[in-house]
Amino acid sequence: MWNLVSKHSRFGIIAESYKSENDPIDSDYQVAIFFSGYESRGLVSSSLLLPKSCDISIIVYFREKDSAGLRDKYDPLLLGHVTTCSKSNPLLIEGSSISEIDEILKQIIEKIPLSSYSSKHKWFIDTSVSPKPYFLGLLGYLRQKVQRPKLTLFNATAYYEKCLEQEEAFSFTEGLEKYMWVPWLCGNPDPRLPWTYFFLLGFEGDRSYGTYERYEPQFVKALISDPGYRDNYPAEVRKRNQQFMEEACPEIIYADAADAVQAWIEIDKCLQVGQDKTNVCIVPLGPKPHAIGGALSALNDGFPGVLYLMPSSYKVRDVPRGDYIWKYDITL
Amino acid sequence: MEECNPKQNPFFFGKFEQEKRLNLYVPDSIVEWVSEMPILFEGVRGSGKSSVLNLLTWQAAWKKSSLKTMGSSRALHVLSDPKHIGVSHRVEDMDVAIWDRWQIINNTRQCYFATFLEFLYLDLLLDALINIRMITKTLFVNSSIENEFTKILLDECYPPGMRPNLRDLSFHSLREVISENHQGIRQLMTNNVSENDIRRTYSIVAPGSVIKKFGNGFRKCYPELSKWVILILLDDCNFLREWQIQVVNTAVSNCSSPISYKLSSLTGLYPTFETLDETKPLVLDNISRKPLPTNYSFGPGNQMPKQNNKQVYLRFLNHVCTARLEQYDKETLTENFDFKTLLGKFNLEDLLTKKLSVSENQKAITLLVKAKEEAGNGPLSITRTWLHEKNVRDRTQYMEDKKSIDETDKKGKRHIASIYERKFNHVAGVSLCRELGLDFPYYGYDVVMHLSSGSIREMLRIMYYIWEKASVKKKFFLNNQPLDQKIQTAGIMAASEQRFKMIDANPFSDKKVSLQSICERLGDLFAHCQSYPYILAVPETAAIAIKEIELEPRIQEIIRKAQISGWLLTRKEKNDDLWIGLHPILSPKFGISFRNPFYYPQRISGDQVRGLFLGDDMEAKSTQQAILSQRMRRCESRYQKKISLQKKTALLFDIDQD
Repeated sequence: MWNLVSKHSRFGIIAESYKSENDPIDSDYQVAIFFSGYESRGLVSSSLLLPKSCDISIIVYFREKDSAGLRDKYDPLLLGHVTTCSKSNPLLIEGSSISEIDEILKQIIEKIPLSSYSSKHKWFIDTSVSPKPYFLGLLGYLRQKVQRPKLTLFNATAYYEKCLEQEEAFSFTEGLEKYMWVPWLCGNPDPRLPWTYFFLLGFEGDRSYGTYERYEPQFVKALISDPGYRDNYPAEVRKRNQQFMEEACPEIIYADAADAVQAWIEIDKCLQVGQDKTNVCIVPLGPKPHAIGGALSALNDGFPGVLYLMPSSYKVRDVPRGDYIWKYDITL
Repeated sequence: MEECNPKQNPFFFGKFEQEKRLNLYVPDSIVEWVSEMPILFEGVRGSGKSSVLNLLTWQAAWKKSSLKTMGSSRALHVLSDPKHIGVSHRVEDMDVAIWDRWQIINNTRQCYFATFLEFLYLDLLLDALINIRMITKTLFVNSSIENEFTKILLDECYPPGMRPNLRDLSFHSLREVISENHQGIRQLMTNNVSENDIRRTYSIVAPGSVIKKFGNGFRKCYPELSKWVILILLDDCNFLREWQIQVVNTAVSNCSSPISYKLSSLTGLYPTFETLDETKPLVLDNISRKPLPTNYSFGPGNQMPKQNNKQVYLRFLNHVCTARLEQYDKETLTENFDFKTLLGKFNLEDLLTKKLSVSENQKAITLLVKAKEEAGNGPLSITRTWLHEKNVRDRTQYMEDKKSIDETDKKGKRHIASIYERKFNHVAGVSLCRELGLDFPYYGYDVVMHLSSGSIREMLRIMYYIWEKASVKKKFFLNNQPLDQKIQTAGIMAASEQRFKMIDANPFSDKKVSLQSICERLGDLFAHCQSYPYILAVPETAAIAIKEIELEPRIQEIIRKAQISGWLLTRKEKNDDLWIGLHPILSPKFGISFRNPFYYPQRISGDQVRGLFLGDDMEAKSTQQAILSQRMRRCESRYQKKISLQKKTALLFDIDQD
């Protein structure tokens, strides 16, 4: 049974987070969006949605494939599951690179009929293996284009060490990064104000430090996952972000790694406290639920921007699901 | 909410410095900076470019509560009795990326970028006037003049038919509309609107036109302030694209009194000096490229006289350190901090002599004995003896040349001293220490200046670690007592190691190469070049030279990222060469000479650059070996030529004798 864990509302946005071990997703959706990936946890949501519960389904197949055969293994499975839970054949988006964010988002939007842009319709997005700018960008898009859209975002937690040596387990990206605003979450900065950078910390401490060092914001805040997907993860985050913590001296807050709504609550609370007005930049480097929480905070206010560090490539690894699955029912 | 406790170290170089009430040093150059001359400030990362621009803002002059300043009375007068209004904007590369993604023809994009900038700066200027009025209660208070000024600006910003309705003709009301305007352009651009849609919504203005009108209107409406200068400050111009900087350059070249632009950029990365008019680039007459007070540059190609440079930088460092110590413990600070007194003077030969005297290494003892013999009654020089031993310098030639100089020929003696007694000393010192297994004695104010190389942040990092290592002797900082060599060396080594660890170690290719590994490869290469026998080719090699055209885009991107991060320095030469070296702060880590890296760069090929930057560890190693072999071949070839020349000379002599 799905257990309601957190609930919050602000500026007309309502969100509830639910947790389960393995319950089916017992709702109908007019639009459902899935993403291909190297990880088996990318198949979880489509196997839990009820048959023919989605009017229109879209699967995004990124152009990049791996030599280990993971995509070849999981792509057909994903197609099979999604076909089962859809009323019609899934619409496929193929051939674009994972880094062509604008292009892929454009293609997703083009596939959605105008009739779906209704407050009566519900959207489903699986975030488990989707790079952050995709589901975050869609949140921003829907908030702008649809009146009171209702959506469910799904995330399967992860068990990182199950597939790799300890050191490699906590590294997900490669290459020189480019910094970009998430589409539709570019914020509305006031040129008169200084900046607060809100880091949603993950395991890749060099990215947190590199971003801090690059932008030198006047104010720094950080959200650490605690509890994490596993008991040892919060300590791992602290250890890997030590250099960042020592130099940036952030104000630190905590939220459950898997609870997007709790993250939203804590980020909002932290931003409302004390200091002079600043521009806010949210930097989601941690778990996807925290990124969702950060985006909800950004959508609240209209001012914060969400900054994405686009890597050259993502590491190929098959991360299995963890103990729990989560869904976040959001009305924007 | 948990707060991170900043460490109890006055030289902390992290964010902590930005939160406390800052003690800022105001150099005398501010008098020139607030003039009407457009200026481009160039410097390495951490050299104070943003700080300089911040010093020129209206906030620094009027919002005194947030800033404590130090400097000469002449400099402080500029802030205490300001005759300038400066407004600043920092370029953010993620915003530049949005402009890039906007799918629209370049001309239109440039027009709207120009409009965006004009409205953004007008927003900031109006905000400045409003705030200055609130603070002074005397300036800009006349409402009818305010209305007149607002009308002038409205006419410039909006053509008839597109004029917005204002609540009233106040700065506040105009500012609200202007602010909506530039934010609106940004929103439309991020949503990738078409050209038609944006033209329907916002009209365009020419680069610099609105700000120029502001300046003219300011003078007309406030004739009593006709001597005032309006400073348009743009930070981090290196992040702008060429098409964007052309807009900025156009604005700079079209501006007129009282407007003045002050720009900042990482050295060598200002995108272009072209304007929108190809026939009229921004030339030196239009803009002055000014060194910062931290521009202690050291060596080849420096514009300022070396001594002057050093004194200015030293004064600056003194003030920064004093400001930090005052903040830390004003009560115990006995007098103004003196960098030179605390750290002492670096005397290479004295330090090496002491090291060798206490060494148990037989080679070290032998070298010391030989040096003493060679010195005779003259000054002892360990490095000179070592260089002679290794045939880096020709001892015989040295003696002959020395004898040939007349005692009264001061210029000649200086020349001999330069080429024989001072040249290569630093690298010799580093090399012989490595060879003898000794720690090189990093010590002295001039060493710290070299290592920081124009970056205040690096200087603070070094001082931070020296403070940490000082332990019970921390009070020496506050009492201006000299700090011993071991503590300084330990602190400097720790700073260098820490700086290295800061470099991104995340691999960016399947060959497991990272920026940090590239740094290590370069450092290792230079360490070898500065060791025997490779030192015979050309001493003090701490850079590579490559034709820029041979650098593939991927490597260019890596170099740019490393430059922005601050650990890699580059220099463009006239023959399309690019010289690449490490920031001197990394020299102790790799045991190489800590001076400017660009004395004797090692030329390498495009393939070799690829091997070092993109190859796996084995490829990089074999590339390094190839480069070193190249050096030895060059050295041998030169030696052969020398022998051959000597033979020919001898033959000639014999013939002459005959």
